[in-house]
Amino acid sequence: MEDMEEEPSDTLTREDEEEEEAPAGRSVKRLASPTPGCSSDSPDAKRVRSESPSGDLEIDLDTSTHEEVPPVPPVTRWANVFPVRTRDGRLSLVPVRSTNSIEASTESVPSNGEKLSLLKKPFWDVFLEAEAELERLRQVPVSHLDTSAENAALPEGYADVEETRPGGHRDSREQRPNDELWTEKYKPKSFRDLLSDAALNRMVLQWLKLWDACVFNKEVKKPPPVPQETNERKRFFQRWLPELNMELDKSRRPVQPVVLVAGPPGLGKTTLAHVLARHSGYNVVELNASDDRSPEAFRSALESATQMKSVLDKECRPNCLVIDEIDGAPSQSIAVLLNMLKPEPAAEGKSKKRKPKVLTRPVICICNDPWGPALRQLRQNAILIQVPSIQTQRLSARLQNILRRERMKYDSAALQALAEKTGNDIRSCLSTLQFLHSRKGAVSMTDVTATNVGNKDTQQTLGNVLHGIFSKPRETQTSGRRARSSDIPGLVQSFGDYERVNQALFDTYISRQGLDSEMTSKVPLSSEWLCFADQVQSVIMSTQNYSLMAYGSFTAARFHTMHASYRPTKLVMNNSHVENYMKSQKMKHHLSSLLSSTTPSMAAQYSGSNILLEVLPFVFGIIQPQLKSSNVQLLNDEDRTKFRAATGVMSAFGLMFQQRHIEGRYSFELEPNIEELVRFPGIEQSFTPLTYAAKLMFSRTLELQKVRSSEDSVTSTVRAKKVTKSLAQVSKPAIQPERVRKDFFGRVIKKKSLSDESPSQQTEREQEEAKSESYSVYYRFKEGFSNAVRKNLKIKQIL
Amino acid sequence: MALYVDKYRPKDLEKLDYHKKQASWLKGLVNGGDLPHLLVYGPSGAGKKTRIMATLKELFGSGVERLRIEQQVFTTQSKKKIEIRTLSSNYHIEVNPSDVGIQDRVVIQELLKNIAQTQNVAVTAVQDDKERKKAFKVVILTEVDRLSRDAQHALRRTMEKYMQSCRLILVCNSTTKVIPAIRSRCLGIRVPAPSSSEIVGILNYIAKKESLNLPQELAQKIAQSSTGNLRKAILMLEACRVKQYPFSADQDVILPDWEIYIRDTANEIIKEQTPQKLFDVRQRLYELLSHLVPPQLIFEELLQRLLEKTDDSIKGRIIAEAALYEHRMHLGSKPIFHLEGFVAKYMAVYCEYQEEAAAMFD
Repeated sequence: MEDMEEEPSDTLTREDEEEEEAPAGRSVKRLASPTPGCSSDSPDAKRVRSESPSGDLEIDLDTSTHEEVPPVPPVTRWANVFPVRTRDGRLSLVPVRSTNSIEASTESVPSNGEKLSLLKKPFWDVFLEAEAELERLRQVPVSHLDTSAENAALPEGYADVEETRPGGHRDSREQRPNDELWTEKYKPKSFRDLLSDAALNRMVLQWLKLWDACVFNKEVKKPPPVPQETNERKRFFQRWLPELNMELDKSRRPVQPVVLVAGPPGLGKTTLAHVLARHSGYNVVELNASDDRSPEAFRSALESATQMKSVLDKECRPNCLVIDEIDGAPSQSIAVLLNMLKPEPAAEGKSKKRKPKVLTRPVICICNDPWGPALRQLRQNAILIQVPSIQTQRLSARLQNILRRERMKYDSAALQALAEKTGNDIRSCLSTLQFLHSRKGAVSMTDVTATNVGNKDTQQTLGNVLHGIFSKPRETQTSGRRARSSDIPGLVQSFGDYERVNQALFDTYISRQGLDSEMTSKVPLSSEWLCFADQVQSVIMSTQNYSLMAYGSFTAARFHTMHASYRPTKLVMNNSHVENYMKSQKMKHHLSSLLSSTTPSMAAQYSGSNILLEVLPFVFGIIQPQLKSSNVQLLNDEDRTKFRAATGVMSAFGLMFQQRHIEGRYSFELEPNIEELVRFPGIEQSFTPLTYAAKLMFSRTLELQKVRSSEDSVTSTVRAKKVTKSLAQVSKPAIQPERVRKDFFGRVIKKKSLSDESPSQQTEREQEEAKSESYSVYYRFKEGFSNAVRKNLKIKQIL
Repeated sequence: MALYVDKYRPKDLEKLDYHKKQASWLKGLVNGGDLPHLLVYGPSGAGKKTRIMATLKELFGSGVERLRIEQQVFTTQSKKKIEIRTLSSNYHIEVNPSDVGIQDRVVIQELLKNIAQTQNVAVTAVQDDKERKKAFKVVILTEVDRLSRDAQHALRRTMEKYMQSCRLILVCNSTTKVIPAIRSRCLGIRVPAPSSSEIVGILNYIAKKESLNLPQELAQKIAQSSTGNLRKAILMLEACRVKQYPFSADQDVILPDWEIYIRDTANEIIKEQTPQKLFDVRQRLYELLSHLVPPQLIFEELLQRLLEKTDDSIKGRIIAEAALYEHRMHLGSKPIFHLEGFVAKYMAVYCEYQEEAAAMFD
């Protein structure tokens, strides 16, 4: 990757110089300025070293590096000088020796592997520690010289790994070689050691620097504008990296307060985040899937991490939150994060108590799949950085270095094969190697091909799977042809959903080229395999017999052997099954609405499938008679009977013409739309469709009929009511003994004296009472209802 | 006003036009006392439903014709609500449990229990001893052959347990998909399709009633293309009338669009055997499926149309393949795979045949 930034012919170990180049260099300077000895390019470095008693030793080491180190090509090739291209494109030469020695000097100071923490310590503390260390070294001079010579044979960047460890660790390594996982042991400790692409590293670092304004209260220096970028470089950036927005918002935070680092496992994303955060002077707080990530826990973790008050205490660095594996977090938790991302509201100071908590520390989110639905909101607020996979050569070179350090024999082709096999996953490479190391201390081609340890279990996308199935792999030196069909089932299994794969195969295979001559062989065979896959699938689903799942991936393998070619495949990703399903759902809807609108006497005769296949196609014709006029009054007798028949049929099926306004034109559509149900594309309609006027006439007549029929039912019920009423009146009220009325407590209520009422009124009252009591209870089944017959009744009238 | 089919549908057992002997048996069955469970089967459009309704009318009187549609809601064990449309009178209830697909078992169990555990008030109120014998409700289950196995097993016990209060009339096209346990519990009544001459007779009768002048050639033609489906024949007659009246003897009989579509598809298959064509055919098959044409019907029709145009020497092989693929289709769940599989196979066989024929001529 870095080839593109500098000169194409350069390889490896160039990243050292980049430290001088841009933000990384700046950061070192900034933090280093209080104490001498750490600034990267000043002569102070040498001075410090010469003051220390072991200075001679160090210099010896340096010289020996240059004399004895044939295996690292760039160093020998460029002798003592490196060309460096600065930001404005000028080439300048930098002596190697100075950088080398600086490293040696800076790294040899024991500081828990964090050279930057040096700055926070008083000078005397550092000095005393250094003294103690030197004392210790003097006590074991021989072994030290041995190992340091060994270390010196390595390129820069690794020599420090052991030295930076406190307290005699290196000695114990001789006795207990396997006490630590290699993945931990050789984890990059500084910006320079990172294996991931340098431009990407720098970008993340630059973003972290943007936080300086907010966190450290420092001005952010804008990088000088780059005047001329080569085309190649530009393209590279467009491909991998988004534009970094250099602006700050009101609360002096970067506009994009979160960076989202995405990429497949084992690329060093987590390491990248840790190293960079430490590099920029933060204390790393990690939150990963092993922590509780319920929204409450997440909130408290976020708050404690990002809003700690004692930010710049003597010992404390500001926190930088690294949220690992964020794609597994529940979406509510992500919402909590998003809330904190929102910029501060405009009204400040007014309500200090309930000031919304705002993120004031950088947050780095890490995920494998940035396109998950849970991360959608986050993506909009974050800079998405997709980590490209590491180049195989670069990875294998790093592996070579490590193996040399572990004194393990290796074969560079085998390492390359291993890197390929693991999909350039550093972690799995290292653990595989350590495993081999513990077994026999050597790694060869056969070991790599025999071992299964390197195989990764990752989620594949459907596109990848299809591409794998339909394209022949290019011959590589390591993977032979025989491996091919055996890894297709693996590929499909890693995707998991066989049904979707089969559907996609079904959609894709037929449109592949070169099948014309295969009509009698491959094509029927392919579809037979699909039939088989379908049977297996439905047996699994119906009997829940998941042991049959094992056979799910072989269809794909067979397709691979039949249809794979070197020709690039155009993958058809239209899911015809879903399309068809949607359409048939629509049809089902039409049919069911038709069935529910038919009259009961009709429904008695036809069931769903009958009506669809045998009745509707004809009904559709029957309701479209050819009429000479489109006015009911002007129809002749013959037409009128036709018209009546058609409207009769329509009302029996509950069909209506409904006016639609489509694209500025009015048209009538059948409702429920049986036209869509019975008509097929490309078939000439056997009935001339009704004109707009005729449809209008139909719809009016049907509306009229509807109104009339509802009126009929109303009048009939009203009539029935009248009849019952008159009946009630006719039946003479029997004279009943006057009831004794009691109140709530059972006391007899004395009737108001009626004497003051006139006798005529009295009789009226009596009659009324008698009438009301004479009503018998009756029940009438009410078919449908209409507001037209609603009538207020008193309970008295009912009882 | 309604369709001719409904207008001239016989309402009584006496008025049935064909299978008169069977009608008289049915009458005897109704009047002779206890009615057993019935399993009425026969091809579509043969008059199963007409016979059942006539029998019910004979049994309960014209009250069975007062129908209402109801939506009933059932809850499955997993608290899923299923809705089903029932059609009922005071004496009977008709339901098509296969409408709800895989949940049909629940419908059968709940619905039958509901009905069977309540006595028919309308009938028990009658004092007459003879009438009291009819103190049961009738449940008509249609499309029993589409019922799931579970549902059919659920039927077995209910049929015996609630014999007192309800009778079942099962309707289906073919008994092969009804489990033997149910078949043995029912009196099977086969309603064969009317013969061509019977159909012509009925068509003439309707034409006379409607005072239409129906040429005999056209009547024959309609009877031919209806393939024994009386309903289809009568609907065809009416559609023809709307299309063109007065009739002419050589008038085209109107066919449903889906039949024409399948016929065209078969022609396409014969015309060209390339992957591109296969892809086109796939689109057409999808079109048919999305129009809710049952895949089995597509299979049958397609095979018929293809056989019309294939040479006798490969017919046997084609039919065998079709049977194989159709069988597999029932085992699987994606009809399109199997339909296309069959088409691909046909194309392959046809190609081979053509090559052989060409070699013979050379």
